[in-house]
Amino acid sequence: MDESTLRVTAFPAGAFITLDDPTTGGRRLALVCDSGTEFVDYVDHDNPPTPLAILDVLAPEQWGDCRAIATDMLLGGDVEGYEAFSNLLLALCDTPAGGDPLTLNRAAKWAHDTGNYDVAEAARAGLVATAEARARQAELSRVASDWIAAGAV
Amino acid sequence: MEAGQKQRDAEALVHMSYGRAYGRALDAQAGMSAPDSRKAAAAAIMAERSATAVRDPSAINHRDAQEGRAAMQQAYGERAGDVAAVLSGRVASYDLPRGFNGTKDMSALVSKAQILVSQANVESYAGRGKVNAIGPSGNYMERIEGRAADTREKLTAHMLHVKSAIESAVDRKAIDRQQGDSLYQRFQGAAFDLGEKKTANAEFSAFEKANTPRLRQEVTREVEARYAAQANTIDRARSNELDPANVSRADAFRRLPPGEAIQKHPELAGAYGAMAAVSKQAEASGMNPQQQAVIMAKAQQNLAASIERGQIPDVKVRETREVRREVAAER
Repeated sequence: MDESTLRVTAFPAGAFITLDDPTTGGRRLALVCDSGTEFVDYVDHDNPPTPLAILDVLAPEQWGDCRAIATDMLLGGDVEGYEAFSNLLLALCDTPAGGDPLTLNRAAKWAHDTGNYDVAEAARAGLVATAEARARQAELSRVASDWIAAGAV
Repeated sequence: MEAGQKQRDAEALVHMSYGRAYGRALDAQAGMSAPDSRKAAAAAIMAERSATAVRDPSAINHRDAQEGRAAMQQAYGERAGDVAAVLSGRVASYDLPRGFNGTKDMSALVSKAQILVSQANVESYAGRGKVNAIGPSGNYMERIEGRAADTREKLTAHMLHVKSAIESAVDRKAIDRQQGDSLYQRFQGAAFDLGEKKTANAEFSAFEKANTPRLRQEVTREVEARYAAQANTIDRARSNELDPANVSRADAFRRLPPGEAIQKHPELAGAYGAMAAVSKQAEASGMNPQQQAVIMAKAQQNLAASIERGQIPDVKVRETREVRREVAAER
């Protein structure tokens, strides 16, 4: 394995970043941990996930957060867009997607990217993305356990 | 159930209980020769005593809740929002953190506050004529100024509601005083934390950094003042609230698996015995699984409401009855 493959990149703690998802070929939203060099894919207060390294090879980029999208809309002069998106953000807090900041931001990002501000649909998109992230992590853990059990690691 | 639904349920319960008690108190004074304003004031005091007594969402009657909201607005005018925010905070069944770990409810409450803080900042900035609106929003200044005042009020009401929820948890001994104070401080800190937002506009970023501590100070002062102004209302509500120990038992009975609930409250064994008896009866009566599920859900609701009022089924009494019934059946 090339050493550069394991090079990590640092971001401000608590920042939301997008990075390549090797399992789907797309990009995914993640939350930077306190270390600044690791991220989590989902938030679980009872069973926190194992943080993963922010590898250079995954092309990580700081995304910002959903509040900044609304702010930039108003600063750009789009008052109607700002009002609609701001109302969506507050409404999302009252849905199951509001239960953690990562799912909330996934829902808001989906609404912004698709231009669909339907609260229920955005919330569903956020929850699905988080469920997929959980499944990915579970699969990774399973593979790692299998390899450890087989003495491969 | 998510935090938003808990908040809506709590508001509906408060309005419903308030409205019913307000109506009863007005009816009771119908024959008295006092001015209407004095009768209304007396009815409001009576209503405050009942406003937080019902906590079970299945008891909500939306029509009564609507009438109660109207009664509250009539009684307090502009202050009605504060009364509702404070009283609903006492009723909302939020899962509040007991240590440094978070909960989904707290996360949702913090996110809502953060979004409102962010909106208050950018609207305040835009209200100074710092934005060139595009499209049909040429008259945006008036619109944004109106929205900024509305956002600020929403933020204050939200902070007031959360403060009341935490104070209520302290009163119910769900958390201790120190935990409550620390939790509210953490909530405030998180609410006004700007985070890593990556805004391209440097002038706005500088404004936001300077404005946020000022906003925090002003909103905190406003929340403290409004909460203090509700002291009598809170005292009256508290005087008629259910025994915290019974509320905790009923909560466990509603939410936890039986084994866990009994481990926490062994005195609930009788209630689970009663559920088992209902289950047997439903099965024996030839009901289909759906009908059985409905009966079981209703039985659980009724038992939880009884437990909340301090009426906990006694396992020994029922065992005796069961034995008697079995003996009678053998005969």
